[in-house]
Amino acid sequence: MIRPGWLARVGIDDPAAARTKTAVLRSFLLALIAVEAWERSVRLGGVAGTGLAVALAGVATIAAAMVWRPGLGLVATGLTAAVVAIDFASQFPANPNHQYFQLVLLALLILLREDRDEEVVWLTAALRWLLVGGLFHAGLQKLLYGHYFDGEFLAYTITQNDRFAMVLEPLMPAAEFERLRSLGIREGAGPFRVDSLAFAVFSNLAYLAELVLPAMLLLPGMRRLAVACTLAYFVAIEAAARELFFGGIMAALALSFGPPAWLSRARPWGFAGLGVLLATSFGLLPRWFFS
Amino acid sequence: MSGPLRIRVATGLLVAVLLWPLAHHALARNLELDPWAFFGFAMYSVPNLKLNVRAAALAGPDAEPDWNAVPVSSYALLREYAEARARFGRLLPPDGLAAQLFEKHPELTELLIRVRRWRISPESSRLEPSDRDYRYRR
Repeated sequence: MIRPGWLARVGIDDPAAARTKTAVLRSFLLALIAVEAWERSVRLGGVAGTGLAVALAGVATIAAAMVWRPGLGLVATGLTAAVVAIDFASQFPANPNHQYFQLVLLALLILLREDRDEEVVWLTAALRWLLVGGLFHAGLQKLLYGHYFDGEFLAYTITQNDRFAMVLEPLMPAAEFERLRSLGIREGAGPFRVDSLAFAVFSNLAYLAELVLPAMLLLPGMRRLAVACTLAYFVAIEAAARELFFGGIMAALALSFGPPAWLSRARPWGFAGLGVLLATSFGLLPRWFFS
Repeated sequence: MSGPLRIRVATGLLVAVLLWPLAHHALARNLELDPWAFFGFAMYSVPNLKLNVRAAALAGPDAEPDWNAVPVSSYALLREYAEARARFGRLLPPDGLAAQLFEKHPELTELLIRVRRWRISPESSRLEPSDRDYRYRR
C-alpha cells in the first residue's frame, strides 16, 4: 500500500516496472540536461560567464555518461543536480521555468532509493503526479486569468510571435490576421479579439484540454487514450512554443503512465531527438524549430 | 535518513510543488509577481507585456512632474529596476532606485517614480496602462 493514499490515483507500478521506468527517466533527464547545458554554453559564446557554462556542460555530460554504469546512478544524478543548481543560481530570477521542474525531478530521484521497493514505487507515482499537476495548473491559470475565453491571449501573441502567428493564421480570415499583425504596443491598441468561430473554439480548447487530460490520466480505463491525447497536445503546443526541453520532459512523464516498454521503446527516439537538438545548438542543423 | 522519513520529505516536496501555483496566482494577482516566472504554470496565461519605469523631478506637492529632469545617463538604472520589478512586482518597491538617483543627482530633492504596467482590458480587449506612482523626498 502506498502512502499517502491519493498518490495511488495515478496508478501504482510493481517494483520491477518502477525500477525500469526510473532508470529510463533518469538516463533521459540527465542527457536532456547535458544537451541543454551545451545549448546554453554555445548561445552564450563570447559573453562573460562562458567558462562557467562550458564547465557546467562538461560536468553534465560526464554525469549523463556515468548514469549508464551500474551503481553510479545516484552519483550521476547528484552531479547533474549540482550543475542545475549552480546554473539556476547564476540565472536567477531569469530562470526558464522548466529549470524549477528539473530541480524537483532531480531532488526526488536523489531522495528516494531505487533498490527499496516502497520508495521506487512511490517515486514513479510522484513523477506522474507532477505531470498531472503541471497540466492541471496550466489549465487552471488560463481559466483564472480569463484571456482565453475570447481569444485575447492568442490574438495578442499573434502580434508578437511569428511562430504562433504561423500556426494560428489558418483559423481566421486573412483581413483579421493582417489587422492583428499590424497592431503595436500602445495605449488603446486592439481589439485583441478575432471574429472567427474556429479561433474561439481553438482558444477555449487550450485550457479545456489542460483540465480534462489530467482527469483522464487519473482514470485507469482512460489512461492509454489520455497518454495518446497528452502526447498529441504537447506536439501541438511545441509546434508554436518550441520549448523542446520542457516538452521532452513532459512527454517522458506521460509515457510513464504506460507499461515500462513504452518508455524503453521511446528512449532511443528521445535520444535521437536530443542529438538533433545538440546538432542544432552547434549550428550543424538549422535552428528554425527551436526556441 | 530512514526510508519512511525520505518518503515523508519527498511527499512534502511533492505537495508543496502541487500547491505552489495557487499561491503563485495569488501573489501575481495581488502583488504583481511575474506570471511568466517562478514556476507557477501561468506562462501563456497572460500576455507577457513589458513594464515601463520613468522618473521625474518634483518641485512641490502640486507641481507638475518634470520628466526630463533625470538625465539620460541614469536610464540604465531605470531599465535595470524595470526588469527586476517585472519579475518581483510590488515585492520590490523602487526605494533602492530612488536612493541611487538621489546619490547620483544631488540636484534632485524630490522624485516621482512611475511604474507603468500594461494589460488587456476585459471590457474592450484593448491595451490599457495602469500606473503606480511612488514619491520620494531626499
